Amino acid sequence: MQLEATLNGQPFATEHAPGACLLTTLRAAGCHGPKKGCETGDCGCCTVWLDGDAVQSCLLPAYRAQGRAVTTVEGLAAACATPTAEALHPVQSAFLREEGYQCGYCTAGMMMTLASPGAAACASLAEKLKGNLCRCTGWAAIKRAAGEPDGTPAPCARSATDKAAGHTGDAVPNRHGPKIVVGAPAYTADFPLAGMLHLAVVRSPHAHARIRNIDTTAALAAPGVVAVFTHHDIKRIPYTTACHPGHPRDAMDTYLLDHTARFVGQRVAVVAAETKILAQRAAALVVIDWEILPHVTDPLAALAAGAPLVHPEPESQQILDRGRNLVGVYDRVRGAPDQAFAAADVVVEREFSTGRQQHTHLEPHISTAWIEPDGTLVVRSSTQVPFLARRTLSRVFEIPEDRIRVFKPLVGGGFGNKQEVQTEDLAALVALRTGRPAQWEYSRADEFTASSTRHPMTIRVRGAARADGTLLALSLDYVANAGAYGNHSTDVLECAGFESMAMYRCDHKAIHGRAVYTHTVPAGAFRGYGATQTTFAVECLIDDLAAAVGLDAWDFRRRNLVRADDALFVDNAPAEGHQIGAYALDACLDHVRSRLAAHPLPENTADWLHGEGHAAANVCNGLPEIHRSGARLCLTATGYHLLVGTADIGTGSDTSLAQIAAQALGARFEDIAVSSGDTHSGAPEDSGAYASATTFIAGRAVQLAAEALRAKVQAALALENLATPAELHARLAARGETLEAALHDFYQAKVSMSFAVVGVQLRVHRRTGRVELLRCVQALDAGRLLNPRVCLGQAEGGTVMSLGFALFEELVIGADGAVENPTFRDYRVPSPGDLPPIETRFFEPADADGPFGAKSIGELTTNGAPAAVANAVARALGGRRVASLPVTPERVWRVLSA
Amino acid sequence: MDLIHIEAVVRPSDEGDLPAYSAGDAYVSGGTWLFSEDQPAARRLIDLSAIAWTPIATSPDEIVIAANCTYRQLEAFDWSALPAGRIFPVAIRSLSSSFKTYGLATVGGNIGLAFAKGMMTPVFIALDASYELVTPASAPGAPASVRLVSAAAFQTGVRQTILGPGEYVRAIRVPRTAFARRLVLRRAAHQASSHVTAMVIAAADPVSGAVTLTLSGALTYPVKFTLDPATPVAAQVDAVCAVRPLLADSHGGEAYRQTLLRELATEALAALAAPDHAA
Ligand SMILES: Cc1cc2nc3c(=O)[nH]c(=O)nc-3n(C[C@H](O)[C@H](O)[C@H](O)COP(=O)(O)OP(=O)(O)OC[C@H]3O[C@@H](n4cnc5c(N)ncnc54)[C@H](O)[C@@H]3O)c2cc1C
Ligand code: FES
Ligand code: FES
Repeated sequence: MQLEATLNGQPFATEHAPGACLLTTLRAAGCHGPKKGCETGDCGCCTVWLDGDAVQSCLLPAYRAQGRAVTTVEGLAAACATPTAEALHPVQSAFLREEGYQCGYCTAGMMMTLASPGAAACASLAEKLKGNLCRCTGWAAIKRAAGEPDGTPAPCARSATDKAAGHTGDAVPNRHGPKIVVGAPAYTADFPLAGMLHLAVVRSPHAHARIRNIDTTAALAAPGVVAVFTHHDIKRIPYTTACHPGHPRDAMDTYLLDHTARFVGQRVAVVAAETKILAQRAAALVVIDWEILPHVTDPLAALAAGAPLVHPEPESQQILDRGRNLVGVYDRVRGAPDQAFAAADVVVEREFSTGRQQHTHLEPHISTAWIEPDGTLVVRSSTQVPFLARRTLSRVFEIPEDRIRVFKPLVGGGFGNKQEVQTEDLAALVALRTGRPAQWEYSRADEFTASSTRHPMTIRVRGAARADGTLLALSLDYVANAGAYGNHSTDVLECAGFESMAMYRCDHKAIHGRAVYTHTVPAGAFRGYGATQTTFAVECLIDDLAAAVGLDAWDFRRRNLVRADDALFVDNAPAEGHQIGAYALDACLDHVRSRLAAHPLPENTADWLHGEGHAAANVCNGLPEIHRSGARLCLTATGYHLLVGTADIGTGSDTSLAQIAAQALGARFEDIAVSSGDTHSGAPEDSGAYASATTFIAGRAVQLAAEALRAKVQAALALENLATPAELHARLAARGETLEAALHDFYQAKVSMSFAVVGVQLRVHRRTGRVELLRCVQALDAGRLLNPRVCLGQAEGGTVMSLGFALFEELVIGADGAVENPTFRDYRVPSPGDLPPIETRFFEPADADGPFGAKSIGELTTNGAPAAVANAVARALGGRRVASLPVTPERVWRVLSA
Repeated sequence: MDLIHIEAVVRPSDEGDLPAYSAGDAYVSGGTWLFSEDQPAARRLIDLSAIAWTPIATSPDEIVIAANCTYRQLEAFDWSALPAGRIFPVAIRSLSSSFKTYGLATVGGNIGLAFAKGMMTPVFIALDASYELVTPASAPGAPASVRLVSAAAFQTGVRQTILGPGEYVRAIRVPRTAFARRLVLRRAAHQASSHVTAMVIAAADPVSGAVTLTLSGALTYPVKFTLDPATPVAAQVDAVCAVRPLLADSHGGEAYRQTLLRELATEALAALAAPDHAA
């Protein structure tokens, strides 16, 4: 059909399929401001104005725009009668000033919503933003941008707008902000290529089934179809979607296209066609004769003798015990826990389980692959790990790494889910086989049913203490549901066991962790990496143990948590690669305790019970030795060019790394250009943005490389008898010379630990079990802050994500193995109306090994909030516990009515 | 999202130009639900949004709301002379959808969906409304068939109605007397912005003094009963739940939802009893 309308004041004409929505029609016509976040009307990323009224363009049939005026973020400023000095709409200026974004993917929709006349008629900000989601900011920054700040005290002594020279410690604005607020093309989907094919996959409707026969004839004959591939068309090479450096232990159990489906939603064939709609239509024409096999969805059942096996095939590698569905284990013993438990005055044992949380980064997984004239395979991808993704592609397609380039533009959030190769592989397959550019973009349903999730865990914890409150022994026994592919499970087990158990000083510890295959959607890397679940269990146990010995939980923690000079232990030898580093955990505890004490809980009423709880948590600053990073710095005509391999995934690292470089070079922030996340930029190889490694490892590499370049520049200035680096560059350039410093293969032999304490106050409705958060206070010890604003955003965002894990979020798997709630309407993430004001305070001890004293922050606040909430609910319930996350009203009600 | 199987769209402004219905046709009104899910069976869209029905027409006997009346039109209407109409903005703002859908989403679309979480059908049941249903003529020139059913008889289950193939809702007819009722809506939802898991509308008739309760959200489809002042309300709710199937899904199980209904019924009645209650 033909559409003629006005777009941002200009005549607009385009063709669209009869059933197309306005969003895809606009984007196909090159208008990339409106983003695709869900296509179901829930996230608001696609918001535009139709004759001045905000609508979600994914819900609007394209034909309804006929003859009407469409305004997108690109036209927002021009549509405004009173633009600001920056020639922006006041809402855009406010988002820029308050930095109401991290990854920026939600921002266009957020601004188009808030600036619309309909918003003005809403009673509250929560109501205005009912149809918008942001997964990064934790909403506080958006509330500030919307002119409705929470009114919490400043997180640190420095003002949030102090940006002096743009060195570390200054609140330098996110360098991508100006691009984000005007909706300039920035994300992978914003750069279509001429002649690009679109992919659609055929997914398994069965939890476990073998393909007897697969018939692609009809699909191949369908209009616009260029190719269809199945397991018959590929070489069977085992690999893992998980990306780790070095010699990873991850199970190699994944195939580009498999003859066996091991979960509902597994891809089994791929169609490439001229348009996405044609590809999707053809995918429905692939006929599969399935041999349905028995399946198992519960990990304990999967461990039992005679359970259906998920990976019996011998060609898969690095599986611990495929005959028992065991992906891996993590076992550690310190001292003699059995004797310690037997002899202790007080022993408390609890069992907990945690739900299946999904990352829901708003930008879906997406890759575009093409072949350069010189034969290089290029993949533009929304990835956290360009170098490691390249390595996986090299393995799968048997192409040398130097013939593959992987890079990322802006990434709309990852949270671990993009530490995997998920879309790169099939996009590359199609590009390699057809010679044409190819793009594969996940839908939101794909994200919920077939990307990855946090590992659901069943956790048994036991603690022993002396009557005087000394912790004697801890034991942790946990079973993680890995889903159908091993993915990150092996390392998740280790992080889960180590971080939760190294936190406490006691001489006797036992850790027994198992990751088990089931026929369900795979679990993978998720902010916190397993420690979120186990920390929840341990921190709940600690509260109950304190109660059992008759001590206040604050005092009990103060007494038993690791101290500044401690080594970290999970077995009899101190952990080799881990250290405490700078330490302010004690200050964090005291701060949160006093802030909560300043607001005494209200009395219980006929309707409401009140409770307060807290928890301590930590995160290791990356992986010692294994995580490799580097940096290259070049003197340029305008300053310096910083090249790093790590990827800013909305975390602000392009900004904070430039601050490090500026300070180390004695330059200004403005003088530093940054390139990141590209295997072919000339940046040294880098393991990528995960495991909270960016600040501590990549940041340190940047500092060292910058210091090296500064020394070189100074020497050259003296030699050439020049005053400024600019003069030096000019002189060198005239001679055809350059000046640079590069640091390759950098690693930290010992990584420090960051600490956080979080406290919440809440109330529980006596008859319905509804939980309402009243207050949240957190204190963080992440070393010196590189950028207080970036750090605050990470702290708030991580906490809110975990409040979601604590109270709302759970993908439910039915008996048939299918996800029952694969939409944002039924899988609910926190929105402004659910959240209390969150007060954050930073303590800033300088870490000796971190860049300019900094420690990592990205995952720090993920681990504490669930236990803080659970402990508060337990207090409200008079000590009775809801043993499963999320703490839904119904679960609370069950305890209340038991 | 793109509805990938759609091959044609018809969008008449005159009801008489609606085509005869055939398999693969789907009515679209606001489209806010239709375009939010894959529609594998739909091949042609019959768009009702441009039909020039009067959105809200009043007469001495009744108020007639067109099926394609949008939430925005419903909210903007001056209900001051019809006090019960103040329930509409409350119901609309209780949906989980954004204000951005209000100019698109329609009353008829909400009724047609027949969700357990539906907002409009319980309201119309509380107001003793009837729906005017039309089946288009099977051949040009032949008459369309029209019938009137009570709102209470329209929905028969989750996503189930008495609509026959091709039949659509043309209008909702509400007796003017019903607008003299005092209504209170109470809802429970998992989160501030999620859809209802249980909902109760209490209505007091100023003439007879009778109080009715309409329960929805927690049940597979709504039910209304007249309150017996002599029996505890919880027992009356329980009695209804014993005969009308409760709903269980990822938002809550049956027993829990029943508890919510009891609680909301008690709250709604308390609010109704308060001297200057708000809907
Ligand atoms: C984010 C989001 C949240 C939502 N939350 C809720 C909620 O909380 N509660 C709720 O009930 N709904 C909810 N919905 C669903 C939907 O938006 C509303 O129910 C809306 O009122 C539907 O109206 P519409 O005109 O857009 O319907 P459409 O999408 O046009 O149609 C909906 C269905 O009704 C049929 N239909 C349309 N008009 C008629 C007619 N005149 N006669 C017979 N059948 C007809 C259509 O064929 C279709 O099957 C939500 C939707 C979204 C996207
Ligand atoms: S993409 Fe339209 S609301 Fe999410
Ligand atoms: S900034 Fe809102 S989703 Fe990333």
